[in-house]
Amino acid sequence: MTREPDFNEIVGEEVSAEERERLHRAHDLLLAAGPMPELPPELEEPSLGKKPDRLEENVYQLLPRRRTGAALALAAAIALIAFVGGYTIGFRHDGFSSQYTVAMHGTAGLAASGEIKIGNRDSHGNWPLRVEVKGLPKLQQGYYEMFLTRGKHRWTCGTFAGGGNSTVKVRLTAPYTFQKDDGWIVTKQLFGHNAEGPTVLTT
Amino acid sequence: MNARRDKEMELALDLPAQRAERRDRPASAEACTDGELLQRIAVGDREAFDVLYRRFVRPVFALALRRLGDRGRAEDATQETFTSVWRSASSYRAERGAGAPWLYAVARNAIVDRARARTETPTEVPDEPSSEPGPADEAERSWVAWRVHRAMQDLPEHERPLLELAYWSGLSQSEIADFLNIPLGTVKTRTRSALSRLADALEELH
Repeated sequence: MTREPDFNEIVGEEVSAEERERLHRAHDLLLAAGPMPELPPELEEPSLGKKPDRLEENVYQLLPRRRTGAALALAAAIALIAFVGGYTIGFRHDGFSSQYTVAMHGTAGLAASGEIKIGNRDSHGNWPLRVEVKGLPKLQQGYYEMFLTRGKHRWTCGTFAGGGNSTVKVRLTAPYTFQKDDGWIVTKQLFGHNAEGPTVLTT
Repeated sequence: MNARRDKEMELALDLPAQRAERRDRPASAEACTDGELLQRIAVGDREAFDVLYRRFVRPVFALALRRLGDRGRAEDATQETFTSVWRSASSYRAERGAGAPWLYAVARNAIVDRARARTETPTEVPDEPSSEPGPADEAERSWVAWRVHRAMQDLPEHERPLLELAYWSGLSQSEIADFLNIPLGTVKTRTRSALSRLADALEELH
């Protein structure tokens, strides 16, 4: 059972009685409605498999288009990999062979750190990543997501759970081509919410 | 979040054909009311269908899940709802009311059909009266939830998560500020603004 929000805390004192009553109605309706469930991935876009007859001209191919977009937008870039710090060659750990390593540090005074070991790109264009982070808080209702960043753009490299005292070690994959000045960040996300969460680790 | 990212990536791929398509399109479907979208869908407007889908898919799925109690069957009912919308949008009459109640009826029918498909029969009828809400109460609650969830879909992206976190995740205003890494004052301002917008929308949605 989640805690009921404090109406007075949300609305404050400087509200007319009429406005207060109007907001209270919305407050009550929100409580009565209950949460919207998280959408299953199959429903995030109009489905190809069970789409309506008249849609069979393949307009709603958003997921493939997204992948194509990602591939095309990034394929033109040259793999400039020497930009990252902590460069090591031929690192081996738990059977993972890495070409180089990127260090991350906590944001906003967070005493956390991380390391991304980037392995050998496969013939399909996937870079295997071995990510180790420590010092991140354990999230009760959320998870962490790692992104490759370039200017204002960011592309997901996967999600993971964990935190607390132990070091989290996960393997992720990036199907992108890296450029000079690319960065990496880790954000914290809340289950069932699409809002972009705050950055907790950055390069 | 993902949609925003994808849009950013697509900006790099602004092909000539896409630009021409945008010029030739009528007024943006995003600006249409639900009823106007249904009228456009009735003549085969796919963009209108896409917009309507995004506005209603979560409310429809929530309604289906509430009634059916099973994510798989709720997903099927949601798919069937939008298939029915596409096929029967021409039966919508704007003079009889707004689009949301019409779509609610379509969703309810799809959900009932899915519920009927269930073949389980109780072997024993309980003697005690159920403490569960009766059909009328349940219908009222479903309608309230439907209206609220639909109205939530229209809130700005920077405001909706604040209400979701406050009302459905049980986070206090300071916890939200901490979670989203924004000032507490901003959280309070945005949450109150979102609640006000929601109140407006709920007064309009019937």
